[in-house]
Amino acid sequence: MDIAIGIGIGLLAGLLAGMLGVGGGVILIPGMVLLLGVEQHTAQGVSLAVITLMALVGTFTHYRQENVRLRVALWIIPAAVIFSFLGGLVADTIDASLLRPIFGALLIVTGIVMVLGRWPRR
Amino acid sequence: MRRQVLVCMLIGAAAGMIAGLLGVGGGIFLVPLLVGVLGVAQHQAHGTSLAVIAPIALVGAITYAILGHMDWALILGLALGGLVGVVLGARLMMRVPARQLRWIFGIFLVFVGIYMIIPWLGS
Repeated sequence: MDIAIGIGIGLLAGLLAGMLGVGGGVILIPGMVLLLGVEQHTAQGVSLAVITLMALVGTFTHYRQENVRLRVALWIIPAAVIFSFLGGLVADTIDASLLRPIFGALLIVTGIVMVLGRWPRR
Repeated sequence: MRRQVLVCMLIGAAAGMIAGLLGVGGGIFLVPLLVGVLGVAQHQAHGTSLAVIAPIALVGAITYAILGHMDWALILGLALGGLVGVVLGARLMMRVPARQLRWIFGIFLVFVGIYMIIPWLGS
């Protein structure tokens, strides 16, 4: 049963990520926490692992279509991975009962950016 | 040119911090920043953000795994659904009204966010 719910959550996250180019983790994490009862930290760890796979496939697809600005990406990545590591260390020190509402705040900000943000036209 | 590199590093630091702290990819912030601040062409913003997110998420996932916050069995189902969804979504991309979809999705996220904050307010 949990496997079926997991596949469903993944499918919804993937569909939105594929259609809008954003929005994998904001579906994956609440899905795991609220529907499967997964602990907040574990849900975030699993989310990052799933996003890694989805982003690799997505990068490959866009790269073949020459839609990756490689130099810009290479300038961003070094600082990004250092702070991703640091962010993980910080999260580890925060209790799940506090990490959850912080994540809730991120969802609200994300929702607002989703509606009001400056998005690529097509 | 030098300013551009500095801006890239700042964007990377912010995106990495959000990803590591909260377990998301951060594309929601990366895409608008790539277009609005770095002047990346709109059709290249998604691809470029994914190229950044892949290593960010990988390092984050390894960090969480080392700290004991990982459930390997759970990854299977989610990744299976996720990969099928991404491929389907990418094909549907041109046919869905992106603006309306973002509105529905955005409002949904605000409600879920409030729902996740309420228990903490009551404690």
